[in-house]
Amino acid sequence: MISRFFQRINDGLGLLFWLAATWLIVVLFCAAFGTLLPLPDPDRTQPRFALQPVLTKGHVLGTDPLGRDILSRVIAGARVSVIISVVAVTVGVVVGGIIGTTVGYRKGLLERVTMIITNVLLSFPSLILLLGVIGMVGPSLKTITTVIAVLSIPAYIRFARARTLSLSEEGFVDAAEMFGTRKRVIVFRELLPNVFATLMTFGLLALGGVIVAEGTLAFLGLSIPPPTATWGSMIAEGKSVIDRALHVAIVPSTVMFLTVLSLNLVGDGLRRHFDVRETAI
Amino acid sequence: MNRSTRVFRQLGELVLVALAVSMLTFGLLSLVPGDPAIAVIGQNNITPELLEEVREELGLNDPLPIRYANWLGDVLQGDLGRSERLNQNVADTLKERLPVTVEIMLLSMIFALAIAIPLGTFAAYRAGGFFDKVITALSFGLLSLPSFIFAIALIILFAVKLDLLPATGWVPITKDPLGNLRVMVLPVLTLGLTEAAVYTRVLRSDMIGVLQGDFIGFARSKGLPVRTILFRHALRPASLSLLTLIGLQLGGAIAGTVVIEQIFALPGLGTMLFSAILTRDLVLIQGGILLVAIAYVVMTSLVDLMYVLLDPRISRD
Repeated sequence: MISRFFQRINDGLGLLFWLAATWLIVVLFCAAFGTLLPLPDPDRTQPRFALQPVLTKGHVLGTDPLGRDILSRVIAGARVSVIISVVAVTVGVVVGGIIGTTVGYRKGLLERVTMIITNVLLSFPSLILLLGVIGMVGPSLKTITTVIAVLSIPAYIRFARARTLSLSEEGFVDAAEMFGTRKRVIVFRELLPNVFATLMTFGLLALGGVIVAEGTLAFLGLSIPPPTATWGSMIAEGKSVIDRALHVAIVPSTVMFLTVLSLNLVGDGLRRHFDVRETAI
Repeated sequence: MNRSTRVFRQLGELVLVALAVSMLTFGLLSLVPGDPAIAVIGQNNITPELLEEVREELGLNDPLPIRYANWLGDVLQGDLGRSERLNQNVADTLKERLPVTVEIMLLSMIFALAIAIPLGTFAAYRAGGFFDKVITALSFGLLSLPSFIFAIALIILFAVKLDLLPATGWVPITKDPLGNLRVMVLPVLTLGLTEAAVYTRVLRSDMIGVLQGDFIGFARSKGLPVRTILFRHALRPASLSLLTLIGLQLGGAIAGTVVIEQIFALPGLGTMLFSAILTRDLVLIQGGILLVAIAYVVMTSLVDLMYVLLDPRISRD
């Protein structure tokens, strides 16, 4: 019985992969339709019912120091995490992918300048840049998403360029050139779809990174201002009452960990399934 | 290309990138709205004449390239400016804060290597076995755990539940070395275990490759004990990626400690940069970012240089 269970994990994408994918679908569902669920208002404070433990009637996951329902807040936080990570990664993949593929194919001075700039940008500590810029412009859903997206572009440029260089050695690019296809068409029609396919699996792993980045910002008090629920700010609130009620920190921490773990499992599973080499960077 | 040209080229590149980094650091912060002169005078006693005088005195009226050149000249002489908020020279602040961060970095790295080298090696020796599977799963899980969540988990366990270790409360190493180590345990565990997870994975995959080499088969047929084969013969060739990673991490780790220093209230570079950001202490931010970015660039070049010096094959192509 147990050995058959392990065998299932080993063949195909495996049980773990599907468990992780299911969790991600639940998170996505909560982000999209969370407000329609019959749950208490996530921002409604009830000081009389502060710090109710898990499995209290009416508050399955308990309440926080202000008496707000933790389940509602976790679900509201899912929306923030999903929006920021999906938008930031999509922008990064598209912009970085196009730039990286173009310079990787066209080569020449443009490529060299772009790569020097990219390398310089990559040598800046991204977390500190993120903190710095957010500290200057003020935190909001829009600024955080934009800044994370912009800061992630250099990494995608590097990845897309490396992928383009190895793709250029394959026959189909030569074939297109021999037909006299224009360079721009080669970039957008021949190379980009291939580069995007690789960047997608990379992007799945990056989604987790963005969720952690937002969480870190929120934990340091630099995310979307209260009362908006985000996982990171919930964890920070939980830390301040850690000696009185553990669940306030543990519930959002577990949710964030499971989400990042699931993204890594799904990303890693897909990467291995399509055999994309990490060393291609 | 021979070795010394290669080394010189590497050094030249390092200087160029370092220059670019300094330009960007300067440029980024000069884009920030707000007049540094106002910070010098103080919000309450501003008059247009005084403002103009101070701007002239600080050289704020010069064009950007000239201001950059002046700034760079000062930086090269070790003058990073003065933080009005702390009433201290930025260089002195950095000197004061750096040792704390370096201590966390080094301790967690040593801790991580002490775990990762035996675990990674044994996991590779019995690749696919039960031990290997457990190690791989554990490291995968650890890598998905955001550091601030991990830190909180450790605080709950060791500080709240068991009451064994302090969660905060800095003790300088010069005053009380043992007390200092006690404070360092939780931050080092947090950073070190995560690093250990990365190192183990990297070492494991390199080691699996090395263990398939002919010379390992030869050593085995000579009847050498497994331990000697693994740690005397296989470890050195298998540790190249690990060394690269360590180099990159030493450069990047200063930034990575921000969160940990903040959680455990350690007075390192991370907390300094964070409070500088919150209070918009631009001169301090500039100095801090410059230090961190240059450290990263230097470490990356050192890693490349180390390749050239260690592996003669690389300088041939």
